[in-house]
Amino acid sequence: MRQWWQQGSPWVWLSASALLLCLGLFMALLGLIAVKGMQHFWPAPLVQFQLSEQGKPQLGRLVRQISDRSEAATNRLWLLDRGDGLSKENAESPASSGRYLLLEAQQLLPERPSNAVLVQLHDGRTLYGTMLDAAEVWQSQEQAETGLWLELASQRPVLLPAEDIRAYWLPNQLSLWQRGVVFCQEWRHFLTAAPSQNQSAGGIFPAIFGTLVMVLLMAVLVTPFGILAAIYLHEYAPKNWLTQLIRTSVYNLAGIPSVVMGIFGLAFFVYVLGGSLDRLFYADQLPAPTFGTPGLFWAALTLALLTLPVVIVATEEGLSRLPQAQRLGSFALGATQAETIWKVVVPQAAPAMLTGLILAIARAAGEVAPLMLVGVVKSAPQLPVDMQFPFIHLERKFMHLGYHLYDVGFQSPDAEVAMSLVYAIGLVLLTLILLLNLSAFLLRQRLRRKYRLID
Amino acid sequence: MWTRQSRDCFSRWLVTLVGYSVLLAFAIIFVFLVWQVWPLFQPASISAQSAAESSMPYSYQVEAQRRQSGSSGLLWLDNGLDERVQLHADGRFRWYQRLDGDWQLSLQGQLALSSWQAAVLLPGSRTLLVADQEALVHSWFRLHQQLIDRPGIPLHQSEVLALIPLSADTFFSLHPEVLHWHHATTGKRLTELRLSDQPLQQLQLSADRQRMRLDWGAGQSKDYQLHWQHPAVAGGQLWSKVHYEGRREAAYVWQTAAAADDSSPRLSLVPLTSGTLKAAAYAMLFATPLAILAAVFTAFYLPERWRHRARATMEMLESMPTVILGFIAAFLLAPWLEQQLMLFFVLLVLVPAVLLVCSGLWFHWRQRQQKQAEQPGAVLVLSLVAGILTAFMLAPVLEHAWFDGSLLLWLAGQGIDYQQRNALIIGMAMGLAVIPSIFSLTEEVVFQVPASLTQGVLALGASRWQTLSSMVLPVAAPGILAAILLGLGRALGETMILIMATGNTPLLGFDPFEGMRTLTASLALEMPEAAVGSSHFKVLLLAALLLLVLTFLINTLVSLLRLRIRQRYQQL
Repeated sequence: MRQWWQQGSPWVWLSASALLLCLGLFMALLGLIAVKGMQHFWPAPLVQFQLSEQGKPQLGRLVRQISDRSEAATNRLWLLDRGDGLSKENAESPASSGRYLLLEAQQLLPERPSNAVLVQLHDGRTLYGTMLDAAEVWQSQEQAETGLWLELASQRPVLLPAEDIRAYWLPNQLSLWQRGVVFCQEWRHFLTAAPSQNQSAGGIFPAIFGTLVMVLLMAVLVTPFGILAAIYLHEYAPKNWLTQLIRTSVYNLAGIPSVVMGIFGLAFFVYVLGGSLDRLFYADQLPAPTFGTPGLFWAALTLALLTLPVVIVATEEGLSRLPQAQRLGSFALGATQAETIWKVVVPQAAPAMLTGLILAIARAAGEVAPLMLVGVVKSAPQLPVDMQFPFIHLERKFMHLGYHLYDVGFQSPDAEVAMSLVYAIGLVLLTLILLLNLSAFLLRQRLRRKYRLID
Repeated sequence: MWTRQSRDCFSRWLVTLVGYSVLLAFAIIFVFLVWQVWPLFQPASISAQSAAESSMPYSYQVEAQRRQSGSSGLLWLDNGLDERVQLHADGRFRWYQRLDGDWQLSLQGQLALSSWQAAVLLPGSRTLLVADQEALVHSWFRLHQQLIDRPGIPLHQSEVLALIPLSADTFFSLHPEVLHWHHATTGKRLTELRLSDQPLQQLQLSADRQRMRLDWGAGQSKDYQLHWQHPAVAGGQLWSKVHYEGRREAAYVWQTAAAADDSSPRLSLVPLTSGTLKAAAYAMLFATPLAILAAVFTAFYLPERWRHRARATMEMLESMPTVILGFIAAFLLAPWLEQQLMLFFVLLVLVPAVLLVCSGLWFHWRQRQQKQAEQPGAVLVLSLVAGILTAFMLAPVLEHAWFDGSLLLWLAGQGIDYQQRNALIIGMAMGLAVIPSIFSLTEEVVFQVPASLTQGVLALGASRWQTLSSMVLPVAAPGILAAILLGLGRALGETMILIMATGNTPLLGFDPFEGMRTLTASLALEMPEAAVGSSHFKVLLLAALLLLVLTFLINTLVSLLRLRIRQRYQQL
């Protein structure tokens, strides 16, 4: 026993399981987001339910199982999504309106009708119903329009005009391959369409686009600055207290909480700089502010300040890995310091700079708190880049993936719709950021290997 | 024109300029915030001004107040809005309130003093101030049908000529030859104005209450400018307990959207700072042991290839957007924990216990086989899984046996309020966000301990863990401290997780089952709505400055410690 303690065996076990636990928790988190995000698009089968004994069976999609522990025994309930319905007037009674229902097990019917259809409308609504044979209904109605005949919950058959329908499928009779096709189509729609139905449906294209434009603008601002600063620190700076001070301020700049940077962006860039710009150049539009209000440019500038240390540190690392012999060789050939730096050092350290830039972009894409202050909105009517002069509108507000996630999750009236949508947004955001980081990581690995060979 | 030399020179200048501007950028952030926050701490002052032709709608007769109270023994006070008080010389009072256009008696009684010199009802508020004979201004306010006593405001002179209301929370006390300006809510004296010995007739205030005119009669008058931009913080409300009107006791209050009947925001940074510290403390409590143990194991036990993989994964995870963690915490973890609180505690105790027992058994078994008991491998994974499964099975049983089936109900019975979004959730979610930064730095410093040292200790016959605990950890201690501080800095500045999963109620204390509101969350949520230049705006900037200074100190300490450990390794 004493030996066991003295040799530190318990500590080894604890530390090993701590590592396992850390990695396991993160992997579980990633897996959860991936699975839940994918589920949002996977065409799940439709089930039937019956609210009362006499009631007609209706169609719906199971969302999840809920265990209700309010009493001594645990009750199992099912949360069911029954679509948006065509309109509010058609709902048969107030009790049955609303999109979500909690069902007990006996209210669910075992059989799954094969002609159950899921219809996605262009305005973002989702309908569940039974598809009727078009020819039959036409005979009785004696009119031929293109569209889809549907029987919704205990109503007369309705004709959905073809131009309203974005997509429809019969979830209960799809083969695995067809499900995959629907899955891909829904993903495509999600990535390319604009949000609808008060953010609870549709796609996230404006958010992706806004994120990309903002991040690119930020990259344009931060790259030259960061690289030059790193070159100064590594190539020119004398070893004195001032350089030490600059170095300290780089480290401290990296440590500033992002929300504080956002506050500075709002109070200084937007209100002070933007306000002055407005008074100087847009005086005729005052008091409606042009640049004196949060917008794309200020957001990019704030994030540029935030990610400046990332670029500086990565670039400097790349510069320091370059063998000193290369610089000396260049000097020996009679090159000036500028020529050495711009023709020998910088081209070789370029991958390191790219690494820094990618890391900065990854960081900027994941930040939300500062953006909430300096220009991101929940829904922007116009994209920041369009075909009108001057093509890129620096003063416009824009949408951002991270903020969109926060907004859909927290401000949405329909929490259950939001849930699966938020997972999907989270998956897109996470994929973007992990891919960026992975590419930076691989680039750096390659770079290190290369320099090891040179050495 | 562009010779090689001039190009070299130009390049040098450009690069140097950019290098310095990094320092400049940092300085600008700091200086700008200080400059913005500075007016908050400027004391109120009164300065003489040339007389201007402007109307002064509010006028107060000094003599009238004294005469009225002296002769008839009865004084009518008015708050200019909907409250009136009739005060007798012996301290009896009747309090009227205007409801639907007519005055109704809402309260009457006897004040706790027998005689008084002057009294006033502050404009737009329900606070009654009465100066007694012993240089003390008593302060009461009406709360529904009750009169609440507030701490008195000490005066510097016992003879009071008049009390003159200035705003809902400041007033003047006029003494012979001097005019004092007081903060009514906190009782602090703001400033004073020396007057001539001639008796003052009248005091007039402008509509915006920024200018005042003193009138000594006989056409002799003088104008003054009152400087007080931020009454909401002027009395030291930021960091001290204040008894606000409408509350039963003094408290630290953060309340920006003022209720309908009060005019000024209540800006105490104490609840927010305490929230920030609480959140950071719970996150560190969760993250530090896990991250350090994991890092030590990675650096000292894992083979090179696996070490690289673990490091790379952690680096990747460091960039995980916190908005995702916050969402998971708020919508997945919080409901889960509410359902499975018992399981959480059982896991917390049982998993380490099972691990220890298994490690003992394993050790014993290996010794019987006469083998080294070093790398447990798959047995460890199995026992970890076993521990977790046991906890899952044991938790409901224990909950039934000890807490009648529900820990939550039991907690409620003990008077403990369980909020769904609480400090435990924050501890776990923000802990996850902090783990990678602590892990990376700790792993780095432990790994870089010179091999000559460790090999020497190993050669003397120590086990790997003995080497680690007696040699490596003491040498790397400053680096590990730096890692913890780095994590702390990150936890203090984290925002999205806190906005999403704390409940955002400004609460004091370190209760694990309650939420909090942090500085960062307040900044992100309130800044867009705060009017530019208002007290609220400036106090938020002060909060930002506070965070900036705090993280600045922590980061400086971190770089100093890193420098020290680098030097130590070079020496060894």
